[in-house]
Amino acid sequence: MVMTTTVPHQAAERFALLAVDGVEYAVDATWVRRSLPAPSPLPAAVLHGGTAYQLVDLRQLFGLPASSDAPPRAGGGPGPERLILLIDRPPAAPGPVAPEPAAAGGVHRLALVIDDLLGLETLAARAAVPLPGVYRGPERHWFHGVLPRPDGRITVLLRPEGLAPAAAPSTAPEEVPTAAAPSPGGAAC
Amino acid sequence: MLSRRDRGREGRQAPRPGLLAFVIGGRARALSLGLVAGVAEIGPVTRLPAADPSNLGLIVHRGAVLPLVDLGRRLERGTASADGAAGADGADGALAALGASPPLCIITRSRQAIAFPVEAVLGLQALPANGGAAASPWEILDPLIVDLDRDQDPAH
Repeated sequence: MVMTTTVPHQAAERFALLAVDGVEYAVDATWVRRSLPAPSPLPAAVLHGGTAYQLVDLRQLFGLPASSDAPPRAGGGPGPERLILLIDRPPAAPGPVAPEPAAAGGVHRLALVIDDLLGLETLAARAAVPLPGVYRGPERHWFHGVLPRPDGRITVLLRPEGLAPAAAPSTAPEEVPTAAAPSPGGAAC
Repeated sequence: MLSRRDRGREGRQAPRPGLLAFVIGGRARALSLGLVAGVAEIGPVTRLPAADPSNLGLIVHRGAVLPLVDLGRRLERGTASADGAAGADGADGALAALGASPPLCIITRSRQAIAFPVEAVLGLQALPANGGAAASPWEILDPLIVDLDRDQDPAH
């Protein structure tokens, strides 16, 4: 699935839904710039439209295996081809009260490597609950909270500013061919 | 109608259950009923990434999101040395190892409730008459649950 979004400020509760290892995650749609097929091997950064996005493989960040043996969940399993989701802090978005070190250093353009993109959806984010207190590790930086859905599943709300690695990429950005991606101008999930 | 004295006698003859006994890690363990909110089947588990491998994921119980905690692994920590391979199985391995079908979990009654999977539920048991936990045939997990609850307190 390939997606672009052009309405960064009109979707306070719109989220891009994505899948990693069979778990459904949501990222505020105002952060999302576009999605691209993930090249192989993965570069350290992605250059798109003259802007460098630091690559973050969510499987690697979360300590998950490179591929999953778990049965795919409603389009949530890893497909034959992974995707890159380009995210960038929206200009009008309020910064965190206590910025993460990486975010404070200006790393807020990220190329998230994900298993699949599930679409755009309006979520009742106010119904989200914080992570239970037993989660005390780095995951508290990665996630805003979790949202129980009416059908019983749980969507995990990503905290984009907490996903940035502290170190800058050491290799030069790689231009990702965009021929496979649709032209900007509308969402095409 | 029983008199108060009769009720007292009856109470002595049939002591009220004070523990819920269950099996974790092949051993009989128990929790005071005051710390038990219920027993439920484990439905879908959302495997939230976590640094602590005893955090198996999240479940929804009656609309509430609860962490599913592998108490067996937490109990092993006290007796086993650090072993990186211990966390390799993850939620799938931990749940697959359970004997109950469908897998069951016990939900705690605490400020921040947790659910923990068990291999079997042995039922309600009376509190040991004398000697308290030391005389119990079950390992009583109340201190572990209380510690877990305290650890979850943001002010802690």
